[in-house]
Amino acid sequence: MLRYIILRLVLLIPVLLGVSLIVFILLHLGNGDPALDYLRLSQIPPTDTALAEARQALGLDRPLPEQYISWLWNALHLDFGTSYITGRPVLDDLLYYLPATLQLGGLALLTTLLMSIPLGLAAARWKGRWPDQVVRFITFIGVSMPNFWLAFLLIALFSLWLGWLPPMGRGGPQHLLMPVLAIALMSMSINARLLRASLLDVRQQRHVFYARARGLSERRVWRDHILRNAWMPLVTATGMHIGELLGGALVIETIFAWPGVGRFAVSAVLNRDFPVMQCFTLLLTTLLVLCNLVVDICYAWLDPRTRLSGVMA
Amino acid sequence: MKKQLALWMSGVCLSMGLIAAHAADPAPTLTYSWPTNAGPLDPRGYSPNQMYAQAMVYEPLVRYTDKGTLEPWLATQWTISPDGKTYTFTLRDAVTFSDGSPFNAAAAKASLDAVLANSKRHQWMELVSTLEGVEAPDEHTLVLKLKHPYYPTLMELAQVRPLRFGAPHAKPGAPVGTGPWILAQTRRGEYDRFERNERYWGARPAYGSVLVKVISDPDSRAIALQTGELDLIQGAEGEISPGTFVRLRDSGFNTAISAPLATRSVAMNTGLAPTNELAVRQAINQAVDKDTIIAKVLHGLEPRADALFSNNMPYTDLGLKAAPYDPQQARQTLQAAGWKAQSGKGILEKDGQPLSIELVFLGTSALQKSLAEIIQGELAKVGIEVKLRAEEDGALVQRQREGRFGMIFADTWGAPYDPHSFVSSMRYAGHADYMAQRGLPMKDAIDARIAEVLGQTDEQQRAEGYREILTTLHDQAVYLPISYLTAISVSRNNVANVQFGSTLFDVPFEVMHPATGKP
Repeated sequence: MLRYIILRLVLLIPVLLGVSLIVFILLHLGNGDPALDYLRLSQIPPTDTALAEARQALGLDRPLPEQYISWLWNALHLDFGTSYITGRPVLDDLLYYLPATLQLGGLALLTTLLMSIPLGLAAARWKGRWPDQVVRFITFIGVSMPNFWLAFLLIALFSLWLGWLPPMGRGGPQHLLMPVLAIALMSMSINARLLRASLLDVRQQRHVFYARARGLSERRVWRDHILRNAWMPLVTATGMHIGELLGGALVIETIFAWPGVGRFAVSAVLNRDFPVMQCFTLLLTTLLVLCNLVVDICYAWLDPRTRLSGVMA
Repeated sequence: MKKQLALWMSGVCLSMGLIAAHAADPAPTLTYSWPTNAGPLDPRGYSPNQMYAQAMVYEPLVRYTDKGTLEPWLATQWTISPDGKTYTFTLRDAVTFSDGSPFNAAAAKASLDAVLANSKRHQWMELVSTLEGVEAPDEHTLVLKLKHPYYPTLMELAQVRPLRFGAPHAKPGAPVGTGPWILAQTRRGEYDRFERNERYWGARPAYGSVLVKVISDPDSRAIALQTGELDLIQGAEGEISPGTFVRLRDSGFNTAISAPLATRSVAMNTGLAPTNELAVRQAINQAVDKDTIIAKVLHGLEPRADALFSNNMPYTDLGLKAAPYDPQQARQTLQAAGWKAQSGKGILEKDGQPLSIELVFLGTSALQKSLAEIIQGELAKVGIEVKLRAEEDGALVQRQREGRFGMIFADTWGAPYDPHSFVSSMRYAGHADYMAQRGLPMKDAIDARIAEVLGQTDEQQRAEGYREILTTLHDQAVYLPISYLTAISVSRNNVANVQFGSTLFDVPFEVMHPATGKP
């Protein structure tokens, strides 16, 4: 198992290299010129001399391969360059804003799990009856509604009309409720539906039938024979949702003026702050790969079959 | 008993309310918002230093007013030598920086010398490359020596950066200026807090502090105002959409629109067919109904533009009139120039060439897209085909610079750059305006006249020069001016005396005060 984990971590290196190269190429394939954005943000008229001066100051006058190699060399020393816009070291800025995003994303993940499991269970247990209908309605709405729209509806209801919750900023638990719900609802809905389908599927299987035939209590049948087998798709889906939750944070942070890495990255994209975009993608890639690793480990732990076939092979 | 209790209770409530209204906070806070943090506030720094914040902390020698004139500020008076190359300023007495050190000629010279020491970075500003040296003959006299006469010297001294004054010994990241506010605290991504400068030489601001929250989304900003997280929204850079402005106005917030600050206009390429024909450019000016555009797209928030510059800018009150909206006349203009309708086709033709123009706009701007579509529709009615071309901002500037456009959105730079900096740039290849004008038969004469005006020491002659330049461009219909850009302001009723800055870049928090008698 340890060997497997180390192997996966080693594999992260080529993944990061590949991602950094692709992102670099994509950024420079675009039509825009970060020097122009710098001048625009500085309110300097874009004259030829001003443009040349800005290009030189930002290091954009060098040939592209040279730019990439020098970036890569510095990145290997954990120096991801200086933001074109804030003028501070990129890694310093991103790590400054990361905790706020992890707080939001982590709580959204927790909410997803804590709410989707009871909903999925209820829907499967009382299939076709009113709990199932209610869950279907909630999940239908959750899956169909974009998170930013939900965020604005929540703000309209709880901040503008009722005045119960602050519409923006970071502070106490009251600041967390709306952004967390806005991020979590879609993943929660998908998870609930998945769990319901998986439960219903397992319920039909023969071992459940035999468990009942053996005279086990309905409670034990559900706990030991249905639920344990129905977890698996949920674990996989949760691994994928981590990416979704972080992606959701990008938009939601902007709406709720949440001082996180997502809002910082969105403004970097709008202003073509290449060093920030490069470092941000690498950071997200690392996070996602690590999360997938954790999911795979959970999977192996939950299901001996994958442990035997996939991991040890 | 119940009645008595109710009476007593209401009495208590009333008196508490009265006490609250009268025991005014000695240092109330005004909350405002900005898309990013204020930055380290280096007096000579560009992005990420925000200009509104630099304008709060640092002050100029002379100040630009909303009438396009200059008023004494850190300098109480000045004289200009007859050859226009020496400016002598008398500095205001008893001005100190916020750390207590004196603002005198030596400190002012140190600040300007720091600009000259790094002149490459600031050479976009013509004064910096024109400035030969700075002298401080005594405590209160500052002398600027120029390489050659440059009349907009005072205008450029009034700008927010880089020619304002920081304390010579201030450390980076700890800004010290002479202005009414001090940057007291910054929390990245959350807010900047400015406090009143108790040593300020001018009128003491009524607010004890200004809290500027970091909000980047326009809708979130509007909600923050509605829920009381903000007291004030003000700015000219799309702080909220025109539609939101109207909605807030109708729901009872105090709103205001500033005097014109810049011009929203479309430049036409005189070096490229078919806009190289004067008749085509004139017809376009006759065929677009600006009033409808303003009413439908801009929600009536911007006044109609008749000329390239509004008449509250220096030297621009020339009485230039736009061609009235008259599609019939536009069609006749085109017909007289030989553009004829072919049977079965809506687009006019001449010598087998269709009357077709490419209009380049910023694809990420919903506003420009709407404007472009309306212009397309209007011109189609008179037989001109407009092909819309959306570009990213980088690519858009690239097209401006290379002259790859038939028509292109090209706003003026606004006060205090208008008109002198904007007109100055018309001379340089690589500018949308140079590119737009290069097909004019009198382009060389225009450029020579611009150079002459910028160095002209005689006020009368200078005004005459501007008249000639701007009238020629107007008569040649190089531009389709649409409207004058304005700043908007929306405030809660706890703020009084909300006013606008005289440029696109400053907000005069120091003149605002808490409203009395209202919650």
